[in-house]
Amino acid sequence: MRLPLYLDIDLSSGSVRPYPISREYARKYVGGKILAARILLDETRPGIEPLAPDNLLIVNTGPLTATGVPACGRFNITTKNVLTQGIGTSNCGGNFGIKLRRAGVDGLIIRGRAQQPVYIEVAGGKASIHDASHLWGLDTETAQAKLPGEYGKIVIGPAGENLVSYACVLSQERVAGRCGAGAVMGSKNLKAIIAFGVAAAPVANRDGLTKLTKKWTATVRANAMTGVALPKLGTVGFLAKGYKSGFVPVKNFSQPKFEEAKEFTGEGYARDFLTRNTGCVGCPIRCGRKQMEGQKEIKGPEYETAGLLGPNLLNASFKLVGSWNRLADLLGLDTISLGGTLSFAMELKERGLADLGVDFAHLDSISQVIEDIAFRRGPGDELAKGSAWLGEKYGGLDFAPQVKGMEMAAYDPRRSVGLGLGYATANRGGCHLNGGYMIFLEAIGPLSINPQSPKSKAALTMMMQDLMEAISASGVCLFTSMAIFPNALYNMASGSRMRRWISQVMGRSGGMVQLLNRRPRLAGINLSIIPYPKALALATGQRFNLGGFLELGERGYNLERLYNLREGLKGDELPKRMTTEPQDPQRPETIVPLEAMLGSYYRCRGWNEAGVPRAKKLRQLGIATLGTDPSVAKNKE
Amino acid sequence: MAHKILASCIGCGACARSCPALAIKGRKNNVHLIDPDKCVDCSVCGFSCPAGSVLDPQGRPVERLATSLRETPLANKDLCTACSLCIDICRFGALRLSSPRRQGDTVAWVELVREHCVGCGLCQQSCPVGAIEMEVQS
Repeated sequence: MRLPLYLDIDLSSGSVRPYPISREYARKYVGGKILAARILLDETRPGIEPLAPDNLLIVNTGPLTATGVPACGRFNITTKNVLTQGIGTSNCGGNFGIKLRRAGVDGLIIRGRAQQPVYIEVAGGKASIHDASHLWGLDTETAQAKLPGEYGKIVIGPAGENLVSYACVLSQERVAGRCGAGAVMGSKNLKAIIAFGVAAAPVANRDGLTKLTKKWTATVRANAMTGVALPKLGTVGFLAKGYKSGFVPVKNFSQPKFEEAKEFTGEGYARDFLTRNTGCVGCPIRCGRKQMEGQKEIKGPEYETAGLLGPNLLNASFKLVGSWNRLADLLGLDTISLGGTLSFAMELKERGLADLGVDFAHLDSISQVIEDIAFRRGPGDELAKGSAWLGEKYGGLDFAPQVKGMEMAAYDPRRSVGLGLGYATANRGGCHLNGGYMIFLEAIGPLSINPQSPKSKAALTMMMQDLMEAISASGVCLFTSMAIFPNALYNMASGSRMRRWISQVMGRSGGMVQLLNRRPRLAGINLSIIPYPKALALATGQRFNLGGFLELGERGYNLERLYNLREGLKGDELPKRMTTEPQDPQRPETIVPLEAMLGSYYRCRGWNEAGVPRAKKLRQLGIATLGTDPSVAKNKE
Repeated sequence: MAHKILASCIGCGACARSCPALAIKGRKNNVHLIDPDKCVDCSVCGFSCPAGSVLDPQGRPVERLATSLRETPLANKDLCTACSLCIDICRFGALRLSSPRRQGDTVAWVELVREHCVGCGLCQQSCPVGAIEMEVQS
């Protein structure tokens, strides 16, 4: 079995050396965010500041990255989260990950702080550090254009340089948005990392994986969601479903509806704005959008951006969203945290708690405010710290749209209570994906498991979280999982009896799902509709089946939780608005019954009533020593 | 395995310019060197060498070959998923996606920009669905 090659780069001393990944680590943690979480636990002392030189920036791939399987262009960035002080992970589909693997390197561990701006170059299995004074201060597009064209790149913009808490990292037009990874890069004086190589990604059984890839690609392309809806409408296609189900956030999550948004849909976008679709390298789904801004073709928005900079700010103009989205990308700002922070500041103004230069009635100033945030000018300096920081200073934490300090995505959890549980328990903060994306089973996907009922949600959320975790660590996009559901389900009319029946059965499946959660090894099989374990087995030469894959995800989820506990994060809470204030005043059930789910969720996970993994669970997952003292447990279990 | 450059190299740099893997280095008028860790054995350096100074991994000299006589990629439109792995691996920009046929077109496929192609075949190797054939095109 080939072991992954990681390079350990110390920007303070300028040293580059290989970082050994043991056979045990490669088998147990596989890659991506799970292996990175383990490395972060091993290599950092508890209690460090995210922006201090001793924080790590781990940029890595999974065993399926660049192998040709559908959506294989993903790479991961793990670091201590600037917004939450807990685990920070961010996943991106730009071509950097593919180039990194083709350069013969699976991951980079970057520590220290350079004396002046630098960039790192990776090629031929080696890395070198170069002066980046000529790039500092440049926007992300110009900086990428000034670096050699052949290379895959990640760069930060002025927001990262100026340590905005939600600064992001860009690769091409794709974004590793969350957790402030851009600020961590900025704190290290690291403007960019570039990689070049053309070597084929290492694969243990090339013929076997090629055969699987062809079949899997055909399934993804034939699927009603990944082959039709996403390419045609993009993720903004979720808006129409969102209005129907009521999950689109309106006015800082304070209203159930925004009448002006009727045309602000994926269909409306495709009709009036879409020039063509686009995709991450290596992906046949191609859910990305393109639109015009003047004479220039620019990136169109994703659902999250459209929701949070759209109805959430009482805006229904794709033109405005497109131009703010582009500005945020150029400056290097995460649009999810940006949208949540802006709407919160607007509500603070409306309630007379603080005037940070933004209000719901004056959207024309937003472009200027976005620039002020990136350059930390005027009130922008405080807006750059996120909604939780503002709430602590000015009050209003009860309605700050964040969890653990990081802003929630564009789904109001009061219309998808499973996602509410997911947001509350997500290790990286208010994240729909780390939270398990239960809304796909409750409202967006082909089922509609009662979105207001807590029944079975604990077990289902755990399974979805673990599945997402493992898919992410493998190096492929989570969207491929939407093709698990057959077309027959997607094609059923939303009110059809069959669909209702299946949703009801799924809604009562908690016991069965929990059996699998507790004993994943019972699923010692491989199913063709869930091809990840088989693909991993073919790529790595290790044995994998569905049960082992779910257990891998669970191990990752527990590692992240252990990191959070080590860093002093306690409790899994939602803002009070989500648990006490019905989203629709006419419907008292539109709250998140978090208490009713949380205890059951902890029991499902084998955690105690405070959300701490029990020793038995950690032993089962093979990470027992981490439960006692993670900082000294390296390579022990 | 890797290709090798002989001492008869005249240092013109044609090999380095045409190497798809950026595996060749050397100063002008000096003997060039192939980094065996980066070489992908595509022989394009030999096709481009005016001095016949390149040996393949078996030690045979690679014969010079005009670009018009080299194999170039031909993509099967129906199989192509527009995933762009081939576009991404080509540092010469010899492949691109088709232009939208109308506003909002969501179907695209890979097209060859023949004047940029060196004939290395990396695009074919990178295609996950076997949509690219290498052929000498008239």
